[in-house]
Amino acid sequence: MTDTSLPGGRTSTNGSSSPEVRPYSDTQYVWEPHTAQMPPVRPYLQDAWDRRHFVVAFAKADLRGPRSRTRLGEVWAVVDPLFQAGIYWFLITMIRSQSGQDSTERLTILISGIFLFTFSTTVVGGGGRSIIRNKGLMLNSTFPRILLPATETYKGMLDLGPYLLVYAVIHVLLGGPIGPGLFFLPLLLVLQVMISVGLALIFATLTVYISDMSNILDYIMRVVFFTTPILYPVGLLGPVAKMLLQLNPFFALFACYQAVVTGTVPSAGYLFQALVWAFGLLYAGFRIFVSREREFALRL
Amino acid sequence: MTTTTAPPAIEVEHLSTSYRVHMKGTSVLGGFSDLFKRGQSSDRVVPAIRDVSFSVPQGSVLGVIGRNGAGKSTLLRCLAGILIPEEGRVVMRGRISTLLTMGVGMNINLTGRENIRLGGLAMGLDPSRLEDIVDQVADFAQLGEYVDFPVETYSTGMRSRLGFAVMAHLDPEILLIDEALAGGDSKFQAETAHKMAEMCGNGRTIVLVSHSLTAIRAMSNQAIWLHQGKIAAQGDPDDVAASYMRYCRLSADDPVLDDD
Repeated sequence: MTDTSLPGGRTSTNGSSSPEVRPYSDTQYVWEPHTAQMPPVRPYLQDAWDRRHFVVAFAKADLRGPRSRTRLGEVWAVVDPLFQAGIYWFLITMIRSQSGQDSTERLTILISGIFLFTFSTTVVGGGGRSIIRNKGLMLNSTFPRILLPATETYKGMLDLGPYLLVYAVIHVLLGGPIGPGLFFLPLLLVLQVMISVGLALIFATLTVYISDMSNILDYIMRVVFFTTPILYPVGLLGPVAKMLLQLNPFFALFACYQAVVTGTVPSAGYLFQALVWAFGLLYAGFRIFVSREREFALRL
Repeated sequence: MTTTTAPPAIEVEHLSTSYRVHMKGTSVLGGFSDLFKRGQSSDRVVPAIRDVSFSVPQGSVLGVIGRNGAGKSTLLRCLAGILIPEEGRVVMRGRISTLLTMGVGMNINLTGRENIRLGGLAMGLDPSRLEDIVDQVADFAQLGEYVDFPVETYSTGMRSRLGFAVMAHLDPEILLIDEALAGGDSKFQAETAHKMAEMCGNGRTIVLVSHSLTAIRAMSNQAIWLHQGKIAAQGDPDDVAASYMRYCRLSADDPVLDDD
């Protein structure tokens, strides 16, 4: 029997023999062997919500850090996507110079697509690496681990704001159409957050178990980018290509975005697909991540 | 036998745990199969803690000694809930604050001030209380204007001062400290010792891992000697330190164990 209470021998205090002892809080933790099971979801989410200020502070500090050392600083948040859009526009006009496509439509699809997709790249790429990147934090403190991918998501949202504003200006300057599809925009943005977070949670878990995953992640996101209707209008695709590309969770969603920026309304089929992907991926990602997160520290 | 009527702050019952170590880069297929075939992992399993039991009453300081790789840091991580037990059970009654190997857990790209804020928020501290604490911590760590410099520009000593200051000021009820006092200068070490004594006087519970037998004997009122993941001796710090020194074939006057 080794379970002994050790005698409290000397009193190592600040001199007083009966120190003022404040009663302890009711906080109690019980650590027990863990199998890959879901913890009770409600307390888990409550605990995460109680620490939401951590997400906000971490995201802001993390964004400010690297940019504060450049001359343009925060302006990079807007300059980056502008450069990207410029490069792709140049490429496409070179290749398709004789095809006589409506260049306004192509441009709005291209620029809106790149701007919106940047959010998903940030969330899936950053969120997917968030566990291994914050090894120090993981090995030093206890908190719901979902806060780390949540921080990347919040970072993406902070950047998305200026992107959308810049796009709105470009859209008007190009004389792009403004149609009833605009009312769908908030819903589409919510669906995009759900899909991105779901994927981020899945990849964050995979990178802990598979050390190569963090390298592969960039290629996966690049493939996803090219199979998402950003560089091309959905209407140009043949039936077989369309069917295959629908395996990409972002395909239907960006088909809806295309409808919005070209002044029409998203089709019910694509909207339904995007809804299914959003709820499915968020549910799967949450389950996979949360049921394994207590094992992460052992693997890092 | 405890001197207080309150239940022990820390109760550890038959705790065992082990690390899984990737011996080489996991292949994609291997990693995938690990993910789905639980318990048949191709990784090497290194037992770190084996059947350890003890309890720590409120308001006392437990010193943990042992050679490198004896499982001291793993034990602290188990107490903090960072590592999961494979067998046994750990009950912690109180708010925990951990100060593990110095500087880890800090984001070196961020400033000292931002690290202080993040440390507090990760612990679930109320943001409205945070600003007062930031100033107290910066004061105690004697960082001066450097508090607004990125931590990557700090010296090792500055980092450990900051680390200790953050943890000590977050008002934990149970403080877990792993070798984190090494690196500071003598003045700072004296101040940390004083601060720990003060916290202890306020009824806080401390677990202190150190290679410095002097520090263990001076600060703790009970001690554990871990050897290869098991408890080799536990009880009065002087007795435990003496058996440890006999094992290391050192006499009580030998100064070599004191590394800080």
